[in-house]
Amino acid sequence: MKRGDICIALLLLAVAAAVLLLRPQGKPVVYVNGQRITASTEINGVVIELQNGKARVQSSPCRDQICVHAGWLERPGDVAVCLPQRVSVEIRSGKSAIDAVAY
Amino acid sequence: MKQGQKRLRLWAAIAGVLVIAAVLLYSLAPRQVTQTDFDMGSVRRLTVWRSGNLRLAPLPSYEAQAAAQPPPPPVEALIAATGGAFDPYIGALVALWNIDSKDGSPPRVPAQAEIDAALQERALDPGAYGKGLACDFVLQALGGDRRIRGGVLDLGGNILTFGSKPFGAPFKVALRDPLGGANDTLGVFTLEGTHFLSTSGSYEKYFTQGGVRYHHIFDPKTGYPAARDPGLCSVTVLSDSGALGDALSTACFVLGYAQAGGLPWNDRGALFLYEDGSIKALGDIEQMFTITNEKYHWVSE
Repeated sequence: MKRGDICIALLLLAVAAAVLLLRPQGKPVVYVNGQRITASTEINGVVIELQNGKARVQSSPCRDQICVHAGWLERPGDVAVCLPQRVSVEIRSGKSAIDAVAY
Repeated sequence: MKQGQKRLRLWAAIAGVLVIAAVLLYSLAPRQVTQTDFDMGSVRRLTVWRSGNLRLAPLPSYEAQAAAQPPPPPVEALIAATGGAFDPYIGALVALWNIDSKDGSPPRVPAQAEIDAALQERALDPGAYGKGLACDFVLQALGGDRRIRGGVLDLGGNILTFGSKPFGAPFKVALRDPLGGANDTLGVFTLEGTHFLSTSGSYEKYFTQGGVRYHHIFDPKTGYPAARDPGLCSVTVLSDSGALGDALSTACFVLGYAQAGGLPWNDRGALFLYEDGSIKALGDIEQMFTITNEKYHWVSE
């Protein structure tokens, strides 16, 4: 390995570390039809399972089963939608939402 | 051979510059620091976005300092403007009702003669402006640190925002639902720059005697818990001064919506929440607040 290769490897490592450290942190939050949920639930016959911050459509009475095949949703932005049953499951970033609560 | 060495050196130089640039960018990038446990009474949380050194200097006990201060001039002016409806000199009355039960004895409804006597005394109770004044002190202390770009201070539900968040994102401050559970909110303020949010409500500290609920915000005219605006649950004031905003929320709660509108309104506004879920607004607060709870709705008068 030439010295240049080592430099490039180091550079890539530094960039990777920076990306990792600057990435927005915070637990993902699950929204069903725009409402935040914190436990497994059922809506319009669609069973939504929550586990360790992940969510999935476990079963649905719809014909196509597109929502079920979407599998586990983990990252902010992941979405599963069941059009026939009018249900959407969405992962949003938990941190960016609220800075403080007034009372 | 020579050609290869040249290229190697070029690559090394490029890589070096990029690494230095990455490190510099990282050290200057705004990042979030949250401090929760410092000696400041009811301070829950201070979050700041800052560059450089991650450590925050410990803050002194501003809340105790603020409680030892006489009312600052804007608060004194408010006493006059409300015609005494807001009055921090009701310490004797507060002690008589004993709603805090600080000495362990239960609160009680005093006899009229006792109330009349307590109203004659002029004992300072900094409760109505102390937390706000402490927020002003924190803002002064942090204002000297140029590395701090902005932050949010949560002082037991009184919220101070200052500066700005990274990439110009606005501050999002939720308002707790006084009719719901501890985690329920009713809406969100979207704020940019320095703002102070103070809430006075009848739902937090109270006791019940003979089926009647007695809360902790007193009307200095009657010596009884304020009840000029029936069904009023809480008032949230958006202000640019901690001490004045804190005092204003108490004053607005005592006066009620109709009379509070007559105050010399040089602040940003107030939300009046009622037990039936209606919300009335004073000032231009309506554009900064979004209701997110279906129990609540705007009512204009």
